Amino acid sequence: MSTVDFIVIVVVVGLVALAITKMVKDKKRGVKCSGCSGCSECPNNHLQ
Amino acid sequence: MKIALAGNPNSGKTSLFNAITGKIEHVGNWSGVTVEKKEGDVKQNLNPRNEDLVVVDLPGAYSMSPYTSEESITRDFVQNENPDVIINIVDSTNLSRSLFFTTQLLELGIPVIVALNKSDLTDKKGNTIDVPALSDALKCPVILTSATKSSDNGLPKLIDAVITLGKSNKKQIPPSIYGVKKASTKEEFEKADKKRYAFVNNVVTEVERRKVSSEKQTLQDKVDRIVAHKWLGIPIFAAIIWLVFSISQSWVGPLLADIFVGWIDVLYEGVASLLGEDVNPVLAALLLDGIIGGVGAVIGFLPLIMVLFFCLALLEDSGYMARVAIVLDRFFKKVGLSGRSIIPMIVGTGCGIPGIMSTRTIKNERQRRTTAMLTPFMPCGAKLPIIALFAGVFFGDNSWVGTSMYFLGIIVIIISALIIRKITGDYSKSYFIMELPEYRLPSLKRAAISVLMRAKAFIIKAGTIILVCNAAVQILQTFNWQFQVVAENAPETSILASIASPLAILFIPLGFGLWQFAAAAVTGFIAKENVVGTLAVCFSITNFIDVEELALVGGSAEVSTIFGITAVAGLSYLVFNLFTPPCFAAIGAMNSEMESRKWLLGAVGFQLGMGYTLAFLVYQLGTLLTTGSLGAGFIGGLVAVVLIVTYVGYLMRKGSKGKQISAGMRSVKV
Repeated sequence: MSTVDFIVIVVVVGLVALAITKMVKDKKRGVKCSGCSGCSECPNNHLQ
Repeated sequence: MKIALAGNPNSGKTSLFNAITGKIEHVGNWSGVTVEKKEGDVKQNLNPRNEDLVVVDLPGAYSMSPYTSEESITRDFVQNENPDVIINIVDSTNLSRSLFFTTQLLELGIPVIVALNKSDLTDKKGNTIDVPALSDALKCPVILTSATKSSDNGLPKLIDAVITLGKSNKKQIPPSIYGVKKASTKEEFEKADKKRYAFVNNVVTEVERRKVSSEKQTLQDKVDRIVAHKWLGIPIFAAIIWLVFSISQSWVGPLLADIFVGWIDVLYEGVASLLGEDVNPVLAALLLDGIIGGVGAVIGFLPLIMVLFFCLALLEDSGYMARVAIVLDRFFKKVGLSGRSIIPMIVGTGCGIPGIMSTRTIKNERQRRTTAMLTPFMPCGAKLPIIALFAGVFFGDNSWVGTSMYFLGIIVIIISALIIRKITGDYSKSYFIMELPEYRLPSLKRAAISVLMRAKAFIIKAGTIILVCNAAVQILQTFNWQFQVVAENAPETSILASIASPLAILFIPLGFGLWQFAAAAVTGFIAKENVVGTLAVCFSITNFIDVEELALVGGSAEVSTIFGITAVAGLSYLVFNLFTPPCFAAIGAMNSEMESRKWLLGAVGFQLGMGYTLAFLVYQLGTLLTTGSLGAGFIGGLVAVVLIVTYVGYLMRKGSKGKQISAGMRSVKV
C-alpha cells in the first residue's frame, strides 16, 4: 500500500466518520433527518 | 421573564417573533403556518439592559376554546405555563375579528399588551384607530407595530412596555362590561361569547374610522374574481407552475448550474491530478466516483432547486397560494377532504416532513390521516433532482415534465382520497373557511432567506446521508461476495447487483428491469436524492450537468444510451419514484401524525400499489402508443396490477357495506 493509498483511505474514512457523527448527533438532538430542503418551515427544525 | 405571543392566525405573530428575536422562522402570507410553539431570546438592540426575556411564538387561535390541536397548544400554554406577559398581536386591518380573542386573554389575569400590528397597511388604506381610546376600553397598553418594517416599527416601544409591565407584577384587570367570569355550561359559554361580541362591536365603532366602504369592490377583489375563479383559477395556476418550472429548469437554473458545476468539476479534476497514476484504482474510484461524483451529481441540481423555491416563496409571500387553496377546495370537498388539506400539500412541495406535520391543523381524524398519507404524492424538493435528471436525459429539459408531475400529483391525490373515503366508509363532510390574506409585494429578502436556509439544509444532507449512501453503493458494486474486485465486464457479479437483481425482475413490466435502477429506487427510500447519486455511481457518470451546452443534462442522448432504457421507461421510472412511499424520515412523520399502525401500514401499502400501477400504465400505454406494441413483461405486470386493483376494490366494497349496515342500524333505532 502506497502513501497515496493510505491518505485516500484516511480521507474517505474521515469523511464518512464525520457524516455519521453529524447524523448521530442530529438524531440525539431530535432532528428527524440530517438536513432537508424544507427545514425552514419545519416545526422540528434545529438547524438554525 | 416569559413573554407569550398570541393572536389570530395570519396576524403577523411569526413576523413579530422574527423581528424581536432575530430568528428566521418560516413566515407565510396565510393562516396556519405555525403549528408548534417556538422560543427565542429578545435581540440585544431591543433589550439594551440585557434583561432575561424569552419570547414564545404560539400557533394562531381565534378563541380560547380549542377547535384544532394547534389552538389547544396556545390555550394550554397561556393557561398552564403562566407567562409573565402576553403580547396579543392584533391585525389592525381587521380589528373587529381580532378583538374577540383579546377579550378572552384579558380575562386570564395575566398582564396583556396589545400590539396593533400591520399599522402601515392600516395607514395605506386610510383607516384610523384611536389608540388611547382603545387602550382605555381594553384596560391595557396598546402599541402600534409594523413587524415587517426594519425601522420605525414600534418594536423598541413594545419591548419597553413589556419590561415595565412584567416588572410591575400587576394583575390584568378585565374590561368590566360583560360580567362573565366562569362559564361552565354550553349555554353560559354562548351567552358569554355574545356579550364579548357586543363589547367588541361597541369598542370598534368607537375607536375605528374606515375610509373604504366594505361594499365597494377593491382592486384585490377584482383580481380575486379572476385568479380564484372556479374555472379560470385552474389554468392560471397551471400557467404559473409552468412558468416556475421554466424559469428554474430551462432559463435561469442552467445559467447558475453552469457556474456551480464548474466548481465541482474543478474539485474533481484537482483531486484526480493530486492522486496521480500510482493510487489504487479501487480507492481512486471510491473517492472520485463514489464520493465526489455521487455527491456532486446531486449537488449539481442545487441551483435549479434554489431558483424554483425562490419563485415559490415569492408566490407564497404575495398571498397567491391561499387563492390556490380556495380554487382546489371545490375538488377536494367532493372526495371527502377540504381546502385545509391543500395547505400541508403546498408546504410538502418544500419537504414532505413539515407538510405531513402540518396536517395536525385538521380536526377530522380521517381527513387528517388521509392528508398525511397523500401529502408525499406532491413532488418535494428531494424529488426535484430526479425530475430534472429525467426531463433532461429524455425530454430535452422540457418544463412540461415538472409541471405535469405537479398536476399528476394533484390528480392522484384527488383519486386516492376518493378511494380512501370509500375504504373507510366515512362520508363526513367538513367546510373550509379561509380568510384570504391581502395581496402584497413579495419580499425578496424573505424569499432569499428561505432559499438560503433550504440550500444549507440540502448541502448538509448531501454531505451526510447521501455521501454515506454513495460510498456504500460504490463499495457494494466494486466487490463480490468473496470480497474480490469484480471484473470490469462483469458488474452483475457485484454484491449490489446480486441484491438488486431479484427486485429488478419486478420492474420488467415497468420498463426498467435493470439492477442499477432497482438499487437506485431502494436507496431512494433513505433519501430521494439518492436516486440520482446512485445512478451516477452505478453508471459511472461523474456529472450530469453540461457546462458547455448550458443544459441540465449534457450529452443527454449519450446518457440515455448508457441508461439503456427508452424515454417512456424513463418517464415510468420517474412516476414510480414520485408515487411510491417517501423517504424513511417522512414515513416516520406519517407514523407520528397518523397515530395508528394500521393506517401507517395501509398508507405505505397504498403508496407502493399506486406507484407500481401508475408506472405500469405509463410504460405499457406509452410503449403501445409510440411503438404499436406492448412493452416487455406485460402479462406479469397486468396480473400484479389486477391483484392490487381487486384488493383495493374489495376494501372499498367492505367499507361501503359497513356504512350501509351502520345506516341500517340507525334507521332501526329510529
